[in-house]
Formats: sequence, structure tokens, C-alpha cells
Amino acid sequence: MLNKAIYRSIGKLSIFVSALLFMVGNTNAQSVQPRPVLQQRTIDLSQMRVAIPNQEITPGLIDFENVQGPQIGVGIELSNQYEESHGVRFERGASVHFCARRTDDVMASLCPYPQAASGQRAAVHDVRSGGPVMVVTFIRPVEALTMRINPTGGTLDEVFVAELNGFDENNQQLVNETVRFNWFQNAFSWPTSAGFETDGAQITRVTVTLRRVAQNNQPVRFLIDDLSLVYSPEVQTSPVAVALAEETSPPRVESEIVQSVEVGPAQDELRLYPAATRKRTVIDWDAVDLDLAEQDAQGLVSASRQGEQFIDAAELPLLLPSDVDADSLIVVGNRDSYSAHFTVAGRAHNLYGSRLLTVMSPAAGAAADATNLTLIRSDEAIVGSFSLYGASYSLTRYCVNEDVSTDAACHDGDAMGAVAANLVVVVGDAGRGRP
Amino acid sequence: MRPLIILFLAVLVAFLFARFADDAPTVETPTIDPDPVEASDPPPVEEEEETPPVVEEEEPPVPPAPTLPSDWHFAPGNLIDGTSTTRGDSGVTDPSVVSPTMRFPVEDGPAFPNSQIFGKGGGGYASGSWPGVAGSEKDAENFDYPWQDNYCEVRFGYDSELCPGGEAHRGQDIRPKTCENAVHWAVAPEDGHVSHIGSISINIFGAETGYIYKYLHVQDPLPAGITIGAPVTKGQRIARISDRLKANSRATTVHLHFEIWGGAEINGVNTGVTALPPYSSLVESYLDLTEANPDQIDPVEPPELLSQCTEPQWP
Repeated sequence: MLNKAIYRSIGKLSIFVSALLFMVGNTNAQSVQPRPVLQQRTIDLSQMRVAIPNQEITPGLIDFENVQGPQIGVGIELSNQYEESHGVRFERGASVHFCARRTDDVMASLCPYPQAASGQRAAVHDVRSGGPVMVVTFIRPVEALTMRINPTGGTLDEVFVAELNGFDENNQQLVNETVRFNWFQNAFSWPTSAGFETDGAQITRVTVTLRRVAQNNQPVRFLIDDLSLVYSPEVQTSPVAVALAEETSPPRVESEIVQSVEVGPAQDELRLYPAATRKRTVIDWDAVDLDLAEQDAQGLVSASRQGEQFIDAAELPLLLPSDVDADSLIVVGNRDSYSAHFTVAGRAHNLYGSRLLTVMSPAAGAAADATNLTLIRSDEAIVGSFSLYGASYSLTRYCVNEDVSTDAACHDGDAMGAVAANLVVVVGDAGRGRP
Repeated sequence: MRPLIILFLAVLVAFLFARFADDAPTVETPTIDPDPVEASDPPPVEEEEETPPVVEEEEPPVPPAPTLPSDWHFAPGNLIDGTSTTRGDSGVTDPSVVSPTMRFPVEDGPAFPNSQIFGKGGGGYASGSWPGVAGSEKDAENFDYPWQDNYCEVRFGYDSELCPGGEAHRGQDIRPKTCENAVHWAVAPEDGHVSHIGSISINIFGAETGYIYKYLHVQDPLPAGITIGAPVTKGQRIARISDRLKANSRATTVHLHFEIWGGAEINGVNTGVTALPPYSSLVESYLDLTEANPDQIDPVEPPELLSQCTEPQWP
């Protein structure tokens, strides 16, 4: 029973369902996937752009020269340095280091070469901190890339193998490329490139590993430089991604603020720290009414039988399941927030909603450009967080025994999407007063 | 002749009398036992009268009530060096108290918010990529001041909109007074209702704030009446703090993982529901707790043996 009504007004909940499928699919990057026949061509390096040291921004080229940001050890955090300019994100703690040969031991051990492949800086992936694999995410898909690659040390003529794997947004592996090379130190121009080229594939994630053959192919710390990209000529993004891009930009709330809510004692009564500001948002009751009318026409009703006093007291639209045993649905709440507990397929679920927003300043380097859907995973549950009608909501699906290691299916996006698809919007007495 | 004899005798008597009178102070007298054994000996009245001034002089001064050390906590967002997901030492430094009237979630002090995995016996993270610290769970350092924030500590796969790197620990670890398992109580932070009970967790919906408070690493049996939907009052016992990582796995150290969830505005945007930084709220609520109970400030001696951090035997 798919209630299209609540999706229709702004389409976000359907996006939520779809996005759950989409994003959870991506999060299960390491799950077993049949490998398709790889489509590769010989890499045409002439297609790639040439690094120009110290140039501000070159489209399609990342030379790691002009970076600023938080320090990671003696380097600079790399994670989202090129997210806005190039649509590229580096995961797992990669950092940028000054790479001209230095006299101090620390720097020399990180980059033992006379210079970077271009300029003075290169990116480092440290297996001790980031694991054996460097992960590069392409928000703007690419069909081909190359990079210069080097270990941070070795013995003369020692054999190393670089491996690149590329995946599309459905986590389907489309690329597997290896490069075998012999190492020598005094390379002013790094001799080794690794990369791939495809027939218009939409590569959204690439993993990079460097292995030391003489030591049982053990993954080692490595450097990359001059990451050159060929974006997919026509970005045939999936409907889900299009929807996310168009619809899931979260609404700014300034214009929706009707009042600041005083919570707790006044600031001067606090002894150390100020109370956070909380704001009460405006509810888009017109959108709620549209969805109510449509779901009424379909005869959809909430399974709720318990907690009706809380529903009636709530001055926000409540999302509740329509297809669960009414006795299993327990609702508690107050004027501005509610929580509903229910069970689907043996797993506990919780829906939480609030029209009070706590104003927070993120840490430096946090994902400030959050989308309207956030999937929050943990060992015990998965949470989908989103905004709708001006309020904030979350749907939590708990693993059996709160243990994903024995209930991997609890993170399954299909199942969670099915739960979201059966939600209906409910408005109690107070809500009908249109506060 | 007779008068002379009488005179002689008189002089002799006088001499002897005077002699005995001179010797009198030298006669040994028995000492008075200040603490007589004989119960029947009544204390002299004079002593009773003299007792009060003696007592006043010897009474020890009343010790001042314990107070929190001046450096009892690090600032919000100050993580252990290198333990953030981006290997930094900074989390959310915004000190705003998201739940100003919250009750401290552990019933009794002292209690010690600090890093579980980067404390002694915690093991570190990611197979040693973020190495732990040598030592034992019961080490006194784990159960002492200063407090330290570990919201935003490294955790891959735990998405976070507020932390550097986008993936991080979304709560605060709190060690109770000792490492004893399942003997220290978690309590409700405000009036509200139980909104979820899991194998190692319990959630409270706060009626005043509308927040969801999440407690992890708690252990059965729960107190009578603690069921999903049941009302709770501020400070009411809701669960025992344990070392449960999974339902039947004692894979962590004894601690409470505490989270506060609510709708959030980040950079002017309604980002949906997220886990808010709890550290400042814990600081304020601990001030309330210890102000009312100064005897719950000072750390206590940890058990001598790690094996003493054991399971209680339930009746």
C-alpha cells in the first residue's frame, strides 16, 4: 500500500524512500556484487590535462598545490578540499603534504623525492590511519582518470603494484586496473601513472591501493599527484540523483521562524555555558492539507489507537505507519514533538518528529552542505533523517538484538523504504487549529 | 626539777610537731586515674564542670565541603589529540547547552565523561590505526577528572553533520564512579516517557524539551514499570550501566553512551533530526548534581583487581 498522497506536495518523502534505496546501496559498497565484464580501453594520456604548478584551479585537474585547512599530523586535511571546485571528495583521512625533499626526518619519510610530480605538494594516503585503500568519491561522475603514484619509500628496483577499482552509483564495479612498476628514488618527474578510461561510464567512486610485492603484496603508504579527470560528457544521473539534486536541498529556515522558544533558565543563570537557541518553525499546512485530502480519498488511516491524547496535543503533522498492528503502535509527545514506536517484520522502529530546531554551529570541516536526507548508520540501527512540511523527522530501524553483525538486513534500504512508503500524515485537534 | 622536765617535754613535742608538719608535703599521695576502670567510681563533679572547655579546644575543625577541582573539565570540543576522524583534536567547540535543565543521566557522582576507546583499556580504534593506551579498564585515570569531550571522536560509518570529516561518534561516553558492572544507575534526564527499549539501550522522550535521549550499554533487568510508553520522572532509575556492546557480549568497558537527538538548524538550514553535542549539557547538569551532593565529587579508589569489575549476582 503505497500512499502517494504524502509525497505529492513537495515530493520529498518519495525522495526519501528512493534515496534510502540509493544511498544505502552506496553505503553497502563492500557487499557482494557480481562483477560485470570490464569495459576498458587503452589509456590515452594525451586526453589528460597537464599539471601546471601553482595554478589556482584547473578544471579536471587536481594538483594539491593550493590547499588550506585543518592539519592532519604534519599535513593538511584533504577530505573536501576539492568537493566544490572539482566534485571530488577524498575519504579516509588522506592529506596533502609538502613534497620537495626536506632536511627534517619527518618530511623526508613522507615524501623522499626531490619534488612532487608537479609543484611542491602531493597527497598522502597512510594505511596505518586510513586502512589499505584510498577512497575517492566523485560527486560529478568521471569516465576516465589518471594520477601519478609513488610509494613513500622502497629499495632500488623494488616492484610495486598499484590497483585502481572504479564503481558506479549502484556500486557496480566497472573498472579494475593494475600497474606494476619498479621503484627508484631520485625521480624528478614521477615515472608512474595509474588510471583508467571507459566508454562513457559514470564512475562515482574509485579505490586506490599500492602493494609491495616482495612483502606478500602488503599494502603500503603512498603518494598521488596530478589527479587528472575526464568528466562523463553527459551526466546521465539516475532519476533518484536528479531528484536529490533538485528536491533535497534542505529548506532554509530563516523565513520560517516565527519565534524563538525560551527553553530552560535564562542565560545569566547558567554558570558556565549559554543555552542553545531553539526555534519553532512554520508548518506548511497547505501541503499537509493536500496530502490529507489525497490519502483520505484513498482511505488511508493511521494505525494509531494509543497515545491519541498526545496526537491531539501536537501542533505539528505526525507521520505514522498505516499498516502495522495498532496495538504495537505507541505514541508519546508534547506540543512540538512526538515519538512513535512500532514493530515491522520483527524489528523495532521509531518515528520522531519535531518543529523545534536547535541552532548549532558545526565543527570546522563538517559537512555544512548537508542534503535533505541523511542516513545515519550504527551497529544497532539505521536512521533516515529528513525535513518535511517545515518540521524535522527521523525514521529509525533497529537491528534485531541491536546488532548489525548478526542482522545485516536491518540496514537494507528496500525494507526501510517500504516502511517509509506506508507512512501517513496525521493531524490532531491542536494541529487542526493551524498554529 | 619537775618544771624543767615539763618544759623539755613541751619543747620536744613542739619540735616533733613542727618536724612532722614540715615533712607533710613530701608524703607520697596516690595519683588520680583520669580514666578509672571501676565503673562504680562516679566522676568528680569538678571534672564534669571542666570538660566543656577541654572539648572545645580539642574538637577538630569541620572540613570544608568537597568542591570540584578548578580544572575538572576540558572545554567542549576539546578531544584527545589526534582522535577525531580527521586525526585532529577538535570537535564541536560551540559551547551551547542544548538541554539546560537536564538532570545528569547517572544517578550518583562522581562520574567521568571521557573517551572509552582512547582511555586505558579501551583498545583504540580501527585495528590499531588509532591506537589505544596501555593499561587496564580499572585504571584510576579512567575514573578521575578532568572530563573530556568525545563527541566527534573517530567512528567511520557513523554519519555526522556537525563533526569534521562527516563521520564520527555522536554521543558522549560517561564512566560511572567505578568499573563495577551493572551496579550504577542511569536515570531519566527529565520528565517524559520511555520511547524505545532495546537489548542494550533505552530511549527517553523528554516532555519538556521534546528531545530524544539515548542511553546505550545498559543491561537487564530494568526496574519495574520501565516499559515502552511508560511515563518517567526526572531522576528516576531507568537502567543499569554495563559493559554490554551487544546483547550478550561484554566487549566494551563499563560506561554509558549518552546522546541527545532533536531537530537541528545548521548554517541556517533545517537539516532534519540529528544527534546534538551533549557535553555542555552534561557539564551544567553535573554542576547541579554536585552542588546538591558535594559528597559525590571526589573520585573513589578503584577495585584492586580487574576481576572485581564483575557481574553482580542477581537474586
